[in-house]
Amino acid sequence: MADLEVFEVFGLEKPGAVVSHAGSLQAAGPDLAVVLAKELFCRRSEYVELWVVPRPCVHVAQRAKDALGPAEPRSYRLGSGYRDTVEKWKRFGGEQGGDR
Amino acid sequence: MDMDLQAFEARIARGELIEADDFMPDAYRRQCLRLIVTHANSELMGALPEREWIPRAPGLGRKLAVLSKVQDEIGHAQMIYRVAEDLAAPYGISRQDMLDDLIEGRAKFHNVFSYPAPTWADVGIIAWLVDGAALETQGALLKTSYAPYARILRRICAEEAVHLKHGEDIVLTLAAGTPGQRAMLQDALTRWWRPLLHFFGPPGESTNSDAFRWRVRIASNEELRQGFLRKYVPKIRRLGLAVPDAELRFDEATGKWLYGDPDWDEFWRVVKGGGLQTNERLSLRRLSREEHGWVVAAMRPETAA
Repeated sequence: MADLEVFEVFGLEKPGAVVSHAGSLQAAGPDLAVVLAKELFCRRSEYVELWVVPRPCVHVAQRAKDALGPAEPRSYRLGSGYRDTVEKWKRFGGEQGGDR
Repeated sequence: MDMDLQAFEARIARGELIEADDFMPDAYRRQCLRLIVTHANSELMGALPEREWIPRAPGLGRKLAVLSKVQDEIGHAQMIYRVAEDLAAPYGISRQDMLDDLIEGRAKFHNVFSYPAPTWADVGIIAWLVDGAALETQGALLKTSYAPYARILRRICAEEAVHLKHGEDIVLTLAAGTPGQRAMLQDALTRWWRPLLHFFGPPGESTNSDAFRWRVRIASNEELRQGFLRKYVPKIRRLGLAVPDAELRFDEATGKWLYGDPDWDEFWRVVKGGGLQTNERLSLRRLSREEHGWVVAAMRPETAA
Protein backbone atom coordinates (compact mmCIF):
# COMPACT_ATOMS: atom_id res chain seq x y z
CA MET A 1 0.00 0.00 0.00
CA ALA A 2 1.51 3.29 -1.12
CA ASP A 3 2.02 5.96 1.52
CA LEU A 4 0.36 9.32 1.64
CA GLU A 5 2.67 12.27 0.93
CA VAL A 6 3.27 15.18 3.25
CA PHE A 7 2.49 18.59 1.74
CA GLU A 8 3.45 21.94 3.21
CA VAL A 9 0.65 24.48 2.85
CA PHE A 10 1.29 28.18 2.20
CA GLY A 11 -1.18 30.97 1.64
CA LEU A 12 -1.83 34.63 0.83
CA GLU A 13 -4.11 36.29 3.37
CA LYS A 14 -5.06 39.04 0.93
CA PRO A 15 -4.21 39.94 -2.66
CA GLY A 16 -0.60 41.05 -2.88
CA ALA A 17 0.24 39.71 0.60
CA VAL A 18 3.47 37.92 1.42
CA VAL A 19 3.10 34.15 1.24
CA SER A 20 3.14 32.62 4.69
CA HIS A 21 3.23 29.08 6.00
CA ALA A 22 -0.17 27.76 7.09
CA GLY A 23 0.72 24.21 8.15
CA SER A 24 1.09 20.78 6.66
CA LEU A 25 -1.11 17.85 5.74
CA GLN A 26 -1.03 14.35 4.32
CA ALA A 27 -2.65 13.52 1.01
CA ALA A 28 -2.47 11.24 -2.00
CA GLY A 29 -1.24 13.75 -4.57
CA PRO A 30 -1.55 17.49 -5.10
CA ASP A 31 -5.23 17.56 -6.15
CA LEU A 32 -6.42 15.99 -2.93
CA ALA A 33 -3.90 18.09 -1.00
CA VAL A 34 -5.61 21.22 -2.32
CA VAL A 35 -9.05 19.87 -1.34
CA LEU A 36 -7.82 19.09 2.17
CA ALA A 37 -5.95 22.40 2.49
CA LYS A 38 -9.19 24.27 1.80
CA GLU A 39 -11.00 22.22 4.44
CA LEU A 40 -8.25 22.55 7.04
CA PHE A 41 -6.98 26.09 6.64
CA CYS A 42 -9.68 28.08 4.89
CA ARG A 43 -12.98 27.36 6.66
CA ARG A 44 -13.28 31.07 7.49
CA SER A 45 -11.92 32.45 4.21
CA GLU A 46 -8.54 33.09 5.82
CA TYR A 47 -6.70 33.02 2.48
CA VAL A 48 -7.27 34.33 -1.04
CA GLU A 49 -4.80 31.80 -2.41
CA LEU A 50 -3.39 28.52 -1.13
CA TRP A 51 -0.26 26.71 -2.28
CA VAL A 52 0.50 23.08 -1.55
CA VAL A 53 4.09 21.93 -1.97
CA PRO A 54 5.34 18.35 -1.56
CA ARG A 55 7.61 18.50 1.49
CA PRO A 56 10.68 17.04 -0.31
CA CYS A 57 10.51 20.06 -2.67
CA VAL A 58 11.14 22.46 0.18
CA HIS A 59 14.86 22.99 0.61
CA VAL A 60 15.87 24.89 3.70
CA ALA A 61 18.81 27.09 4.69
CA GLN A 62 19.05 28.16 8.32
CA ARG A 63 20.91 31.11 9.79
CA ALA A 64 22.51 28.99 12.50
CA LYS A 65 23.74 26.17 10.26
CA ASP A 66 24.14 27.66 6.81
CA ALA A 67 25.65 31.11 7.38
CA LEU A 68 22.61 33.01 6.15
CA GLY A 69 23.69 36.62 5.62
CA PRO A 70 27.19 38.00 5.98
CA ALA A 71 29.42 37.00 8.88
CA GLU A 72 30.25 40.64 9.68
CA PRO A 73 27.70 43.42 10.15
CA ARG A 74 27.41 45.31 6.86
CA SER A 75 25.63 48.52 7.68
CA TYR A 76 26.04 49.84 4.12
CA ARG A 77 23.41 47.32 3.03
CA LEU A 78 20.82 48.83 5.38
CA GLY A 79 18.94 52.13 5.54
CA SER A 80 20.02 52.39 9.17
CA GLY A 81 23.64 52.60 7.95
CA TYR A 82 22.92 56.10 6.54
CA ARG A 83 21.38 57.77 9.60
CA ASP A 84 23.90 60.63 9.53
CA THR A 85 22.33 61.99 6.34
CA VAL A 86 20.00 63.82 8.76
CA GLU A 87 22.99 65.75 10.16
CA LYS A 88 24.51 66.26 6.71
CA TRP A 89 21.33 67.87 5.37
CA LYS A 90 21.50 70.51 8.10
CA ARG A 91 24.52 72.14 6.41
CA PHE A 92 22.23 73.03 3.53
CA GLY A 93 19.81 75.17 5.57
CA GLY A 94 16.38 74.66 7.04
CA GLU A 95 15.47 73.35 10.47
CA GLN A 96 14.47 69.89 9.30
CA GLY A 97 17.05 67.29 8.50
CA GLY A 98 16.37 65.14 5.50
CA ASP A 99 13.88 65.76 2.77
CA ARG A 100 10.60 65.18 4.68
CA MET B 1 26.27 16.03 29.65
CA ASP B 2 26.88 15.60 25.94
CA MET B 3 27.40 18.54 23.60
CA ASP B 4 24.03 18.26 21.84
CA LEU B 5 22.10 18.24 25.08
CA GLN B 6 24.15 21.18 26.37
CA ALA B 7 23.41 23.17 23.24
CA PHE B 8 19.70 22.26 23.48
CA GLU B 9 19.51 23.39 27.12
CA ALA B 10 21.24 26.64 26.17
CA ARG B 11 18.72 27.27 23.39
CA ILE B 12 15.82 26.67 25.79
CA ALA B 13 17.43 28.97 28.35
CA ARG B 14 17.66 31.71 25.69
CA GLY B 15 13.92 31.30 25.05
CA GLU B 16 14.46 29.86 21.56
CA LEU B 17 11.87 27.67 19.83
CA ILE B 18 12.60 24.12 18.73
CA GLU B 19 11.67 23.02 15.20
CA ALA B 20 10.85 19.46 14.13
CA ASP B 21 14.26 18.87 12.50
CA ASP B 22 16.30 20.35 15.34
CA PHE B 23 18.15 18.22 17.85
CA MET B 24 16.04 17.43 20.89
CA PRO B 25 16.64 15.02 23.77
CA ASP B 26 14.57 11.86 23.61
CA ALA B 27 12.79 12.74 26.87
CA TYR B 28 11.70 16.10 25.37
CA ARG B 29 10.42 14.41 22.23
CA ARG B 30 8.45 11.87 24.28
CA GLN B 31 6.96 14.52 26.57
CA CYS B 32 5.87 16.68 23.63
CA LEU B 33 4.51 13.65 21.81
CA ARG B 34 2.45 12.44 24.78
CA LEU B 35 0.95 15.89 25.32
CA ILE B 36 0.26 16.51 21.64
CA VAL B 37 -1.26 13.07 20.91
CA THR B 38 -3.54 13.41 23.95
CA HIS B 39 -4.62 16.82 22.64
CA ALA B 40 -5.32 15.38 19.16
CA ASN B 41 -7.27 12.45 20.65
CA SER B 42 -9.30 14.88 22.73
CA GLU B 43 -10.24 17.03 19.73
CA LEU B 44 -11.42 13.91 17.91
CA MET B 45 -13.31 12.49 20.91
CA GLY B 46 -14.71 15.93 21.79
CA ALA B 47 -16.45 16.13 18.44
CA LEU B 48 -18.45 12.97 19.19
CA PRO B 49 -20.78 14.18 21.98
CA GLU B 50 -21.40 17.36 19.98
CA ARG B 51 -22.08 15.51 16.76
CA GLU B 52 -24.97 13.75 18.52
CA TRP B 53 -26.56 17.19 18.86
CA ILE B 54 -26.45 18.25 15.21
CA PRO B 55 -29.86 16.74 14.35
CA ARG B 56 -31.38 17.87 17.65
CA ALA B 57 -30.12 21.47 17.84
CA PRO B 58 -33.05 23.89 18.08
CA GLY B 59 -33.31 25.81 14.80
CA LEU B 60 -31.27 25.96 11.63
CA GLY B 61 -28.87 28.65 12.94
CA ARG B 62 -27.88 26.54 15.96
CA LYS B 63 -27.63 23.44 13.77
CA LEU B 64 -25.18 25.19 11.44
CA ALA B 65 -23.15 26.48 14.40
CA VAL B 66 -22.87 23.03 16.01
CA LEU B 67 -22.04 21.50 12.63
CA SER B 68 -19.23 23.98 12.07
CA LYS B 69 -17.91 23.46 15.60
CA VAL B 70 -17.72 19.71 14.96
CA GLN B 71 -15.94 20.43 11.67
CA ASP B 72 -13.48 22.71 13.51
CA GLU B 73 -12.72 20.06 16.15
CA ILE B 74 -12.04 17.41 13.51
CA GLY B 75 -9.89 19.93 11.63
CA HIS B 76 -7.93 20.60 14.84
CA ALA B 77 -7.42 16.86 15.29
CA GLN B 78 -6.08 16.61 11.72
CA MET B 79 -3.60 19.45 12.26
CA ILE B 80 -2.44 18.19 15.63
CA TYR B 81 -1.98 14.58 14.48
CA ARG B 82 0.17 16.02 11.66
CA VAL B 83 2.46 17.70 14.23
CA ALA B 84 2.50 14.46 16.23
CA GLU B 85 3.45 12.42 13.15
CA ASP B 86 6.59 14.47 12.55
CA LEU B 87 7.56 14.09 16.22
CA ALA B 88 6.86 10.35 16.18
CA ALA B 89 8.68 9.66 12.88
CA PRO B 90 11.95 8.55 14.59
CA TYR B 91 9.94 5.91 16.48
CA GLY B 92 8.25 4.66 13.30
CA ILE B 93 4.83 5.56 14.73
CA SER B 94 2.25 6.70 12.17
CA ARG B 95 -1.10 8.45 12.47
CA GLN B 96 -2.74 5.06 11.87
CA ASP B 97 -0.94 3.70 14.95
CA MET B 98 -2.14 6.66 17.02
CA LEU B 99 -5.75 6.17 15.87
CA ASP B 100 -5.47 2.43 16.62
CA ASP B 101 -4.11 3.15 20.10
CA LEU B 102 -7.07 5.43 20.77
CA ILE B 103 -9.71 2.97 19.59
CA GLU B 104 -8.17 0.07 21.46
CA GLY B 105 -8.06 2.03 24.70
CA ARG B 106 -4.25 2.28 24.91
CA ALA B 107 -4.13 6.07 24.58
CA LYS B 108 -5.55 8.83 26.74
CA PHE B 109 -8.09 11.43 25.81
CA HIS B 110 -9.45 14.14 28.02
CA ASN B 111 -11.60 13.04 30.97
CA VAL B 112 -14.20 15.63 30.16
CA PHE B 113 -15.30 13.69 27.08
CA SER B 114 -16.32 10.69 29.18
CA TYR B 115 -19.44 12.42 30.50
CA PRO B 116 -22.90 12.48 28.92
CA ALA B 117 -24.54 15.57 27.39
CA PRO B 118 -28.24 14.77 27.89
CA THR B 119 -29.82 18.20 27.22
CA TRP B 120 -29.37 21.23 24.95
CA ALA B 121 -28.20 23.16 28.01
CA ASP B 122 -25.31 20.70 28.31
CA VAL B 123 -24.29 21.69 24.77
CA GLY B 124 -24.24 25.34 25.88
CA ILE B 125 -22.31 24.62 29.08
CA ILE B 126 -19.80 22.46 27.17
CA ALA B 127 -19.21 25.06 24.46
CA TRP B 128 -18.94 27.90 26.99
CA LEU B 129 -17.16 26.37 29.97
CA VAL B 130 -15.41 23.26 28.64
CA ASP B 131 -14.11 25.23 25.65
CA GLY B 132 -13.34 28.08 28.09
CA ALA B 133 -11.30 25.66 30.20
CA ALA B 134 -9.58 24.32 27.09
CA LEU B 135 -8.73 27.87 26.08
CA GLU B 136 -7.03 28.43 29.47
CA THR B 137 -4.84 25.38 28.88
CA GLN B 138 -4.17 26.00 25.20
CA GLY B 139 -3.67 29.73 25.72
CA ALA B 140 -0.86 28.93 28.17
CA LEU B 141 0.62 26.43 25.70
CA LEU B 142 1.05 29.16 23.08
CA LYS B 143 4.34 29.72 24.94
CA THR B 144 5.49 26.13 24.40
CA SER B 145 9.05 25.74 23.17
CA TYR B 146 7.95 23.32 20.41
CA ALA B 147 7.42 25.65 17.46
CA PRO B 148 5.20 23.51 15.17
CA TYR B 149 2.73 23.01 18.04
CA ALA B 150 2.78 26.71 18.97
CA ARG B 151 2.02 27.65 15.36
CA ILE B 152 -1.10 25.50 15.03
CA LEU B 153 -2.23 26.43 18.55
CA ARG B 154 -2.56 30.05 17.41
CA ARG B 155 -5.10 29.00 14.79
CA ILE B 156 -6.82 26.56 17.15
CA CYS B 157 -7.17 29.12 19.97
CA ALA B 158 -8.74 31.64 17.59
CA GLU B 159 -11.36 29.06 16.58
CA GLU B 160 -11.94 27.89 20.16
CA ALA B 161 -12.64 31.51 21.09
CA VAL B 162 -15.50 31.45 18.54
CA HIS B 163 -16.85 28.22 20.06
CA LEU B 164 -16.82 29.89 23.44
CA LYS B 165 -18.88 32.78 22.05
CA HIS B 166 -21.33 30.30 20.54
CA GLY B 167 -21.67 28.53 23.93
CA GLU B 168 -22.02 31.84 25.74
CA ASP B 169 -24.86 32.75 23.36
CA ILE B 170 -26.70 29.47 24.05
CA VAL B 171 -26.26 29.93 27.82
CA LEU B 172 -27.40 33.58 27.75
CA THR B 173 -30.47 32.63 25.71
CA LEU B 174 -31.46 29.86 28.13
CA ALA B 175 -30.70 32.04 31.16
CA ALA B 176 -33.12 34.66 29.83
CA GLY B 177 -35.71 32.01 28.96
CA THR B 178 -38.59 30.25 30.70
CA PRO B 179 -38.30 28.83 34.25
CA GLY B 180 -38.02 25.40 32.62
CA GLN B 181 -35.09 26.53 30.47
CA ARG B 182 -33.36 28.11 33.47
CA ALA B 183 -33.82 24.89 35.45
CA MET B 184 -32.36 22.89 32.56
CA LEU B 185 -29.37 25.26 32.49
CA GLN B 186 -28.85 24.97 36.25
CA ASP B 187 -28.99 21.16 36.03
CA ALA B 188 -26.40 21.15 33.26
CA LEU B 189 -24.07 23.41 35.25
CA THR B 190 -24.51 21.16 38.31
CA ARG B 191 -23.63 18.11 36.20
CA TRP B 192 -20.56 19.74 34.67
CA TRP B 193 -19.08 21.54 37.67
CA ARG B 194 -17.04 18.62 38.97
CA PRO B 195 -15.71 17.60 35.54
CA LEU B 196 -14.74 21.27 35.07
CA LEU B 197 -12.72 21.32 38.30
CA HIS B 198 -11.17 18.00 37.23
CA PHE B 199 -10.41 19.46 33.81
CA PHE B 200 -7.03 20.89 34.83
CA GLY B 201 -5.87 17.85 36.83
CA PRO B 202 -5.04 17.58 40.53
CA PRO B 203 -3.11 20.37 42.27
CA GLY B 204 0.32 20.04 43.80
CA GLU B 205 2.41 18.63 40.93
CA SER B 206 6.04 19.77 40.97
CA THR B 207 6.86 22.57 38.58
CA ASN B 208 10.52 21.90 39.22
CA SER B 209 10.83 19.39 36.40
CA ASP B 210 12.32 19.00 32.93
CA ALA B 211 8.85 19.48 31.43
CA PHE B 212 8.55 22.97 32.93
CA ARG B 213 12.18 23.95 32.35
CA TRP B 214 11.93 22.85 28.71
CA ARG B 215 8.60 24.70 28.36
CA VAL B 216 6.71 21.56 27.34
CA ARG B 217 4.46 22.61 30.19
CA ILE B 218 3.89 26.27 30.97
CA ALA B 219 1.42 26.63 33.84
CA SER B 220 0.62 24.31 36.74
CA ASN B 221 -2.78 22.62 36.99
CA GLU B 222 -3.77 24.89 39.87
CA GLU B 223 -2.66 28.10 38.10
CA LEU B 224 -4.87 27.14 35.14
CA ARG B 225 -7.82 26.24 37.37
CA GLN B 226 -7.50 29.55 39.24
CA GLY B 227 -7.48 31.43 35.93
CA PHE B 228 -10.67 29.63 34.95
CA LEU B 229 -12.44 30.30 38.28
CA ARG B 230 -11.39 33.97 38.19
CA LYS B 231 -12.95 34.44 34.77
CA TYR B 232 -16.08 32.33 34.96
CA VAL B 233 -17.40 32.17 38.56
CA PRO B 234 -18.42 35.87 38.54
CA LYS B 235 -20.16 35.39 35.16
CA ILE B 236 -22.00 32.26 36.33
CA ARG B 237 -23.21 34.11 39.42
CA ARG B 238 -24.23 37.14 37.37
CA LEU B 239 -26.59 34.84 35.45
CA GLY B 240 -28.19 33.93 38.80
CA LEU B 241 -26.94 30.34 38.58
CA ALA B 242 -25.71 28.47 41.65
CA VAL B 243 -22.30 26.82 41.59
CA PRO B 244 -22.85 23.45 43.27
CA ASP B 245 -20.05 23.85 45.84
CA ALA B 246 -20.91 25.22 49.29
CA GLU B 247 -17.22 25.77 50.04
CA LEU B 248 -16.47 27.85 46.94
CA ARG B 249 -15.30 31.33 47.92
CA PHE B 250 -12.73 33.93 46.96
CA ASP B 251 -10.03 34.26 49.59
CA GLU B 252 -8.94 37.92 49.76
CA ALA B 253 -5.76 37.08 51.71
CA THR B 254 -4.29 34.77 49.06
CA GLY B 255 -6.18 36.15 46.06
CA LYS B 256 -7.31 32.61 45.25
CA TRP B 257 -10.56 30.77 44.85
CA LEU B 258 -11.05 28.05 47.46
CA TYR B 259 -13.21 25.10 46.49
CA GLY B 260 -14.49 21.90 48.08
CA ASP B 261 -12.75 18.57 47.42
CA PRO B 262 -13.95 17.59 43.91
CA ASP B 263 -13.25 13.87 44.59
CA TRP B 264 -9.91 13.23 42.96
CA ASP B 265 -10.50 9.47 43.24
CA GLU B 266 -13.26 9.90 40.67
CA PHE B 267 -10.79 11.85 38.49
CA TRP B 268 -8.31 8.97 38.57
CA ARG B 269 -11.04 6.43 37.90
CA VAL B 270 -11.95 8.31 34.70
CA VAL B 271 -8.28 8.74 33.70
CA LYS B 272 -7.93 4.96 33.84
CA GLY B 273 -10.83 4.56 31.43
CA GLY B 274 -13.65 4.12 33.94
CA GLY B 275 -15.65 7.22 32.97
CA LEU B 276 -19.43 7.10 32.68
CA GLN B 277 -19.23 7.10 28.91
CA THR B 278 -15.60 6.22 28.17
CA ASN B 279 -16.56 2.96 26.49
CA GLU B 280 -19.69 4.30 24.75
CA ARG B 281 -17.67 7.14 23.25
CA LEU B 282 -14.91 4.78 22.14
CA SER B 283 -17.51 2.49 20.52
CA LEU B 284 -18.93 5.53 18.78
CA ARG B 285 -15.44 6.36 17.53
CA ARG B 286 -14.98 2.76 16.34
CA LEU B 287 -18.34 2.87 14.56
CA SER B 288 -17.52 6.18 12.96
CA ARG B 289 -14.21 4.81 11.69
CA GLU B 290 -15.99 1.80 10.18
CA GLU B 291 -18.77 3.88 8.61
CA HIS B 292 -16.36 6.43 7.16
CA GLY B 293 -13.75 3.90 6.14
CA TRP B 294 -14.81 4.27 2.51
CA VAL B 295 -13.80 7.97 2.54
CA VAL B 296 -10.34 7.11 3.86
CA ALA B 297 -10.08 4.33 1.25
CA ALA B 298 -11.20 6.67 -1.55
CA MET B 299 -8.47 9.13 -0.57
CA ARG B 300 -5.68 6.53 -0.58
CA PRO B 301 -3.07 6.96 -3.33
CA GLU B 302 -3.95 3.68 -5.13
CA THR B 303 -7.63 4.79 -5.37
CA ALA B 304 -7.11 8.49 -5.94
CA ALA B 305 -4.53 8.09 -8.70
